[in-house]
Amino acid sequence: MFKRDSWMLVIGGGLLFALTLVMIYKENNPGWKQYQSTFAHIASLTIGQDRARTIDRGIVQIYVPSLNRVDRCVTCHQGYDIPGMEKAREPFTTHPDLPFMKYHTFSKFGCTICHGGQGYATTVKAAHGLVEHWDEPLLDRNLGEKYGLEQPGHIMEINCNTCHRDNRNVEWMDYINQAEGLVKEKNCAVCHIINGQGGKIGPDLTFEGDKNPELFDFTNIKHGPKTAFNWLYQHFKDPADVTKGSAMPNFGFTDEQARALTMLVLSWKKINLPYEFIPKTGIARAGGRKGTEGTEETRGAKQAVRSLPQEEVTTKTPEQKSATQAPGAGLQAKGKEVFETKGCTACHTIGKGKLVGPDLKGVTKTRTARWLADWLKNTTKMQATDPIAKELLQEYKVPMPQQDLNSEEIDALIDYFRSKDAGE
Amino acid sequence: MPDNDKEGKNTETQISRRRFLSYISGFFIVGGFLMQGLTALRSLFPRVLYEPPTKFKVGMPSDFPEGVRFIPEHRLFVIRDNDRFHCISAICTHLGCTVNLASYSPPKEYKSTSGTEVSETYEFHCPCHGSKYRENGNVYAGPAPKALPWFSMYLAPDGQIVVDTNVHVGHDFRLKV
Amino acid sequence: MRERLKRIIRKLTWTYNPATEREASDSTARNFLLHWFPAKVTAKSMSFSYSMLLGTIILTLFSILTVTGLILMFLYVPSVERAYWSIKDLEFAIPYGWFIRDLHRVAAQLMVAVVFIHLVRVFLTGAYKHSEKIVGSYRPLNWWIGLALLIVTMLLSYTGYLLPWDQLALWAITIGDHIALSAPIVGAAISKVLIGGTIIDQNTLIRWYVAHVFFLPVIIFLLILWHMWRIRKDGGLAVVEALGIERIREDKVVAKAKTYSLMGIVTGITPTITQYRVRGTAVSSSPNLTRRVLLTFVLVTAAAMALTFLFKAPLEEPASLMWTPNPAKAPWYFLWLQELVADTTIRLKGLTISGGFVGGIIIPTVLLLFAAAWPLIDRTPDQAIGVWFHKSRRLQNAVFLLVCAVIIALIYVGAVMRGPYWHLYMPWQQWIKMPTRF
Repeated sequence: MFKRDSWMLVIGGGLLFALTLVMIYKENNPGWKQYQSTFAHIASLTIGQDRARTIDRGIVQIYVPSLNRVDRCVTCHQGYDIPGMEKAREPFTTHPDLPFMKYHTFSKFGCTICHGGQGYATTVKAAHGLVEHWDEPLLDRNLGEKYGLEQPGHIMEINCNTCHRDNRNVEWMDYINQAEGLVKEKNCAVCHIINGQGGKIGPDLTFEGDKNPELFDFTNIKHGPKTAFNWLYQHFKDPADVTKGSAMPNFGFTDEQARALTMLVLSWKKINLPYEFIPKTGIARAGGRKGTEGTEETRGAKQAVRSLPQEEVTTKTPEQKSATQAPGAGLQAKGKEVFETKGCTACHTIGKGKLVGPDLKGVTKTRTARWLADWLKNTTKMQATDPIAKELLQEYKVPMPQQDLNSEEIDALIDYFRSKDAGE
Repeated sequence: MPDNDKEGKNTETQISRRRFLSYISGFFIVGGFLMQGLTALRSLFPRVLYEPPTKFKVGMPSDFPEGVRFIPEHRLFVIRDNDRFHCISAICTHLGCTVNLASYSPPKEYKSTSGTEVSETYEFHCPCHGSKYRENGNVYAGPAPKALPWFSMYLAPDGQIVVDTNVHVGHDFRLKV
Repeated sequence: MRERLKRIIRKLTWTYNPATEREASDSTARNFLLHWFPAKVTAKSMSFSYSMLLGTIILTLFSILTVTGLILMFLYVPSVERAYWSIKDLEFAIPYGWFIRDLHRVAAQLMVAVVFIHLVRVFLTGAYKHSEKIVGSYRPLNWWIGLALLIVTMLLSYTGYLLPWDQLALWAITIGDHIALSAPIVGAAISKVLIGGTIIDQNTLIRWYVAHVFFLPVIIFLLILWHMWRIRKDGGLAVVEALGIERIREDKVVAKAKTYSLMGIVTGITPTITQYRVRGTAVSSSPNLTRRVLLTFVLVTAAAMALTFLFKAPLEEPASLMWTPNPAKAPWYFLWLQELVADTTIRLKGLTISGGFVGGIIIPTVLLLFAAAWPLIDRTPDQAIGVWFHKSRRLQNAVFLLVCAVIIALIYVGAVMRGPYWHLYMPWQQWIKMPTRF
């Protein structure tokens, strides 16, 4: 028994020794070391040995205390700030010198605030965020391709817009710009609260990007992965099919439009930005929308101070302005404009059948102008008191939201309806 | 030892084999735990630091006034003389306190070690143990063992001055803008 | 010179490698580290087949935990802002940080498991029973100390896995806090002390941290010392009583030099002492017992290291009160309690008692009280002491094993068969896939 102990001690000691060596080996041969030696080799060929020798070795990180981010991406992506490595393959290539990069410097922003991924990690899989218990995956081409984006790399716009939420028509953000245009055109705020204001028929979307994916009901999702992205996409394509009995009309969005809207909605997340990171004014698309830049500028200035600016300032071209001011026939034109910009079209058509609300063809014949004016002014109140309104509510189920229209706009609308009915 | 007593005595080979075994296991165990201890110690030497970089931008040349400007977050002085800049550390070489700027107007006159009359408009005085430095950083009083080092400077592509505290330079160094 | 060096080395090490029988028995008295061993020990006491060396294994694990824990204290920051990220640093950036953390976790889990197995072993061998044979022996006391050690071990684990401040941590405290709250009268006060308020935040973290790195380790260390000391006072492991003890009365004058009787059990009034001699082979503790302790140390350390390479310590998302993981599971050693609190809410006409109170407080307390009272209730003969599965204890062993089996089964159900929303799944069934964002 005791002789065996001596032998066991040799074996156990050997095991301990060997395992310790394994541990030391594992520690000293991480994946990133391989990338660094490959990079050193490529760099010495591309930019010369002298410059290649000055490149940092070991775990390299960009530490951004004000954003509470530590990005070790550059441990492997070493060429990110070395001009001359543009032609090298990933992960060694130079960061593309896109026009906005001079505002988003590496040392001030780091990597993950824009790209997503796990900055602390030093293994490929974990750093790209493709692991359990990490909520921010790398928003890269692969992910864009997974959801069929025509410009897959642009899925990153989700993160752009998390900070640039209050800027309009920002350069490069094609999807978000498209989606924001749609939000305005369809006037989503009639039914949804966005940025703290809007109707209460649909859910509050202000921070929809933070919503726990488990809270989406996937019973009617037939295609695609079980993800919030896919749910929102399918829902934009056909709301009533995904959420049975949904009041949201099918707007007939194209696939790309639905993807753009999904990205926009997912970008609506809470974020803590120190003052120096709040996007500044006048970053509208260069060359685009001339003449509105001044308005954008002043509006932006206001927004920078307010935390969550809401008001949708409709910037009008001079032509539009003169059209609205003209009397007489201009009233119908204004009514048309109100009808199209205030989101009426989301629920109503004129002569094209009923959507959520009734077709307004012939409405001036079935209702008096006085009733219509009353209705447009006191919608919610009349739903409780007026017999016709009550009946309508019973038929269509979805109550029409109270609109914020002044009497001039109401007159214009009724005039517009009348002209439509008379036209036939 | 009872376990070896089957034949009533320990033979030479038994003893030497036992010793051999204990040497091997001793080597493994002591070696293993020693390595473990060293790795534990290694873990206390950080691989990454949550510190500001040692190379940093201090601003555009036009931002600097004539004369000395103290930059507290980096603990250094940037000195401008027309279009020529240099940079002196504000960390006392004695025990690391931050030295204060002492300005003189009219300029202070003193005899240099070579005997020539020199005048200067500022000096650096350490509040902790009374070390005193000339305007070029040379120590002339107090316990400080060395002169204040000068840091290398260069212009970044965007025109800002970059200070590299890792590179020390001689007193003839000037950044011309 | 070489000779002198050799002599010095010999002077420092002879206690570990005694040359003679006399040196061997002297060594336990002369070496501080060895003095808690008896001079001689029966072969049966140090055999794997009787004790499975569980105490030594636990001690090894505790040593590993102490050493790794001390290093982790340098690397971990107990603040809600930094705690989670300092763990990420351990995992990714600090040299050997991953190893130190994973080893700490593996050793902690093993310790809980082995402490439990130790309790089972002591019960099945009847080692908690009191016998009148040995003067000054009262084994039930050590059983109670052992129960306290089990509780403190569980508390150490509990406080330990809260420190990473991830989702697991946050929701574990939440559940623990609400179990405390469900206790009548004192619940609110206990909760307030545990949480340092009503919302789990920095106050809570620093409390659990101080408990984990100072109070509980000190308590467990003192209890371990007491536990060891009691073994000596009880005359060694219970198996020596099974081996049989003969009482030898030797009326002899004690010489000036200290002598130590076989088992170190000495009673009587000097100069006449009464010795109890144990039947069976007894060998010197040094180097036989010390070698075996060292062997256990080495093997357990090696095993823990090997497991460290196999099991990476998990780290969930940063703690967030905004959402609860689905399913939110406690570590395996608490899963039987989690399963109990989920199943034991009692609804009688108009009277509802929360499962938190029934499963989280009443059932474990009743189990503990039963365990504590058992040495006083058990009336089986002395022959059952220190014997595995003695025939006189067949029934109580069976009941005890049944309780253990139920606990293990509950752990299994909780670990494997509970999916999202705590739905019951068969082991071969695929859990429903929960949606993700991208």
